[in-house]
Amino acid sequence: MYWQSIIIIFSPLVGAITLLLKNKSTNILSSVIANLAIGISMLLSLWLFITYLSEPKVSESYLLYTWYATNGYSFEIGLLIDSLTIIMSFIVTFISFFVHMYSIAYMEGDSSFRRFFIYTNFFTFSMLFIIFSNNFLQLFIGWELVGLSSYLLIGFWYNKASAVNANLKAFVVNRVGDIGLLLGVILVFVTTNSLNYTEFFNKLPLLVDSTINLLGFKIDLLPFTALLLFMGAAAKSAQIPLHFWLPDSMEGPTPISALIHAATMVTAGIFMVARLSPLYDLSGYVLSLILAIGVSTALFMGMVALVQNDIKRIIAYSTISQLGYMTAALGASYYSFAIYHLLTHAFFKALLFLCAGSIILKCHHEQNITKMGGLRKVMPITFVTFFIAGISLMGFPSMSGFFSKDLIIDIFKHNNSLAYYSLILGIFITTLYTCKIFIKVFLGNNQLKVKKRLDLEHNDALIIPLIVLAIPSAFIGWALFDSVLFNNFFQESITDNIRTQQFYILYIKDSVSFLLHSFTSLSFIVLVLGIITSYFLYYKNDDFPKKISKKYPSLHNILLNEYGFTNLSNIVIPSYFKRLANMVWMKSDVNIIDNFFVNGTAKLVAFISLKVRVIQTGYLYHYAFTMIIGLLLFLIIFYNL
Amino acid sequence: MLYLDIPLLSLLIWTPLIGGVLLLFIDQKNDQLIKISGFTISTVTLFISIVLLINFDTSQYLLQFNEKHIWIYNLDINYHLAVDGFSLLFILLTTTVTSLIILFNFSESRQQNNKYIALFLILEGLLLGVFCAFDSILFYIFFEAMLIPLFLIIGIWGGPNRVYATIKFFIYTLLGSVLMLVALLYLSFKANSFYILDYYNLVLSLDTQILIFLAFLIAFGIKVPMWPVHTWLPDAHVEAPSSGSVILAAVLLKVGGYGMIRFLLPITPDAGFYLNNFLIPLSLVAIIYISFVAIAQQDMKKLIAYSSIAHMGFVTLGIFLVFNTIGQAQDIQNISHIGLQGAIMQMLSHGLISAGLFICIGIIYSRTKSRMIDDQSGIGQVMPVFSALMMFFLLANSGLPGTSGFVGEFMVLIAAIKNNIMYAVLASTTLVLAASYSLWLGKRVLFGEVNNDNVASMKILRFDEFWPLLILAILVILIGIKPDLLLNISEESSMNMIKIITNKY
Repeated sequence: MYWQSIIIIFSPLVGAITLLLKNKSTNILSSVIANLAIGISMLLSLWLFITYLSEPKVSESYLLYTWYATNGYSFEIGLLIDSLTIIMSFIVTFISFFVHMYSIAYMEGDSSFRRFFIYTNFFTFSMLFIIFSNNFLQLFIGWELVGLSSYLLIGFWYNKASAVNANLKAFVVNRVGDIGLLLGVILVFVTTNSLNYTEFFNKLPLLVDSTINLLGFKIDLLPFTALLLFMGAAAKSAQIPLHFWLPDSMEGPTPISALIHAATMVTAGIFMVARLSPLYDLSGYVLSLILAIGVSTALFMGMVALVQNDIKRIIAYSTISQLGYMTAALGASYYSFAIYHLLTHAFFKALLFLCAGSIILKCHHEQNITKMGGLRKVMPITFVTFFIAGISLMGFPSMSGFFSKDLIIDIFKHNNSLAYYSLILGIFITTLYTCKIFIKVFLGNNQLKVKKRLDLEHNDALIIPLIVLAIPSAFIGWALFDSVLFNNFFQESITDNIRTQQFYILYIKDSVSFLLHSFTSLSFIVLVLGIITSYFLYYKNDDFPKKISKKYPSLHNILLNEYGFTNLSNIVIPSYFKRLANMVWMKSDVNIIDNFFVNGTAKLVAFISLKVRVIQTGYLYHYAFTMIIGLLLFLIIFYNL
Repeated sequence: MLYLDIPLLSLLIWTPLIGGVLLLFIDQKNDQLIKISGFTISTVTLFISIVLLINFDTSQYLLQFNEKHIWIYNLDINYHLAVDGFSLLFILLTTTVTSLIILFNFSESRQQNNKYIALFLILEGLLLGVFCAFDSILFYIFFEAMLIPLFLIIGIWGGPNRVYATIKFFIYTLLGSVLMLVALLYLSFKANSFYILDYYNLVLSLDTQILIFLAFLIAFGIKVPMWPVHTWLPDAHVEAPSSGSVILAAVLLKVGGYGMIRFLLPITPDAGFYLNNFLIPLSLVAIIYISFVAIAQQDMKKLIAYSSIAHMGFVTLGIFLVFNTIGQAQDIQNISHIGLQGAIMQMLSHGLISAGLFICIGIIYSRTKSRMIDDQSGIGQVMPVFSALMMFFLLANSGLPGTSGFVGEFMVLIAAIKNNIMYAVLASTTLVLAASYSLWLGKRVLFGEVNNDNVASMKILRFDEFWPLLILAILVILIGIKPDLLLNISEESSMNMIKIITNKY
């Protein structure tokens, strides 16, 4: 597995460097290099995934090189290859490849064509660098490098003010999470003297009762570490309260939204928690916190999507909401369910974004769905693929999204009714906004008068990725259900094996009965209810939402302002930050330190010398007089003594 | 050890010194000859330092390449040069950065260029002398003398407010070094020797240590500079010509950190341990408070100057944390060793990154004649390659992993968390703050639409502007990917330093 993995990881990096050095490359050559680099990774990952599916293998760990070693401590760069690595690498390279392919057509005519592919290739490398990591240091390095790629790609059109605002925001918010991640990583190092995952997991039983001293309080070590690490995950996976960078990140090119801000990078947080499942199993109340964050993100961020009209922003909020479902599963310690939802979500969400990209191209960069309509006839293939992705997102039985999402909801059916009903309500909301896009964009009148032009809809590079991604969006959930989830596939890599097996025996039986059973379940009823509601809301009687928002303006505004987060992140925090910075500079640094102390000292010296100078008159009799007075004083003092 | 019979260190120091003086005799109208001979001299010096690196034995902490000649017989003052791991790293930094500065100067033409370049070479020689000298009087002479060339560089070729800046800079640093001279003389009478390593064996009472500690702290703290004695640095940077800023930020500040490691740590550990509750907060203030000040800046050079102070906060933090190892268990000592190595790494990394950033600002200034952030916008559209490089240095400045900027901060944070979690929590705010000021600067200067003619008419990078930046960028990445290339050089010296401190009492 060693050489295959090396090629999978470094092929995109070689691609990026080749492109960087090929200064005068044509568009065709650039796209060939970029796609070839990812294609190699993709095929190898696919092959590895298939071999892993057929027979589970023990995990393998390799050292690539030593970053720094001292006194028995060692910082290393290495590889960990197990089922979790393989399935993630399959997801990332597969989607990356088809997004690259799509981008050839999407970015055609952009003057920075080559730069785009440098970034995307580099991103794929960084993501794989995290996935194949066998230690915390490498995790952190890759973590920041994907953040860098995201930063560069959100601000890809760097003359656009909104884009460069969004990418700064994304980077800084992610850095807030990274404080937690970095401190967590370092805490792991100083408590176990190692950064290697396996060594850390082996030492975990010894650390269960250890505490650390924080401001005089004794705090349990493991939950605290888990919490710090989760801060990083929450920022990257856009969980409340660090979610607000993701909707703005839609300023980047649409293929990037599909690749980075829906399918792969934002799931890095989910992946990390699953990777560290032995730690999270032992972290008690932190899991409850993660569950609460996940459920509230799933519900409340889905609701924000209802009031949005920008097609990309709706899908972005939907992504946040779906990541909330994954986080909820993590919080319930069913890590493999989260990974499974990550898998299906990656396909249908990437597909949704790519469809959105085609729609936006077709509508001449109009993104407001209320201005669109009737595109069903104009772009039939996009219509069909969007439909598949959409019902998969809603969780319609038999679609991929159904298998993963209903599984997560079923976790809570028997033990946590609040989470259960919140997530069921989440289905209703998901259905509403998905149908809203679908109805506004594809049905109704062709408001924009978009002509049916053969070249755009039928450009192969645009169409093939849509069709290819539609297949897993529809079927992969069912196809891999038994073999990945309940066949000890994650035995070596995720610790929830026994739990999931029990869950399977108790509630699932097998995929077919899970499917059949679902038609009578609450979630299906809610789903149908949602479809009927949206038919009336958005198709039959489409001024009804406006009436609601007129009648309850405060509710509408709360959602539009994202519960105040928009205001907080765009105005309040930056302005207070700048005000504080200015105050520190002008008041403290310039006035007190520099003017008062430093220049003040100089002025004091000047002042004293000015006064003392007066005595130096230059007249001989002044000096003689002073001498005599001095002598007299001297004599008086000494005679008295 | 092929070259042992050649006095390599004298060669290293005197090549730029003598070369610089000779350069003064070249006719200043012959601009090309001045530049080429200046570059040749600095490259030869760089070559000598690489020969040193190749022949340096990293497996031991003892001084290497010793050269000892009697200088003042009656007082037992010697011309004693040598290197250990710490010295060698700073020598390499000095020679690399100086060569790149002189290469960068090919693009500029100025009055009396022969004197300008000569001063840089002389400064290089004196800096190398500081890092090689193991006789305290020799050290002191180099330490003081290096102020003069920089004083002249800023005073003659500086900006409109240069007189204020140079006097402030000169008096401030002189104040510190005078106190250091007193401390050095006291130590030499105690030890009956001027050999610096002899001071390490002195047994001093706590009160004496505190006085000596404070004398050294003021001398080196001003050089670093530490908060609150930092205000000379932004002024000096703003008035200095671009290359002056580069050498000031990249190498001169490092003399402070080097001095702390050479003198404060081994000679007065008890005082450090005693005063640490006061010293560590100073470093944390430098990291957090100065970062906020940097955010507020309107002048690019001031912004980077303040960011230098914030980064040097990590250096002093890593160094001061070593004091806390006294009387502690072995594993805490080992972690402190990581912190000390981190401090050294942070200095080297900052040397390269700040050099890159000041060169970038110099390039912008040479075209738009303004250092104000508000006067720039959308440079990315006019100079794409330059903008990519500047963005790279800004990202490295914000501590991005994969660049050298991350390594030092990471290692110092390890030492910090072992001592007290709150130190690490406070210091780690740099992740957000450094990203804020660095990337916000990048956003305002490089991104957006071109909004004025000065920017619109900027010329693309010249050959001699591009190469220094590219070489610095490659070094920054190389160190970021494989930091043990440099860390191994100072590994044994640093371990030995920890041993000296912990075994002494």
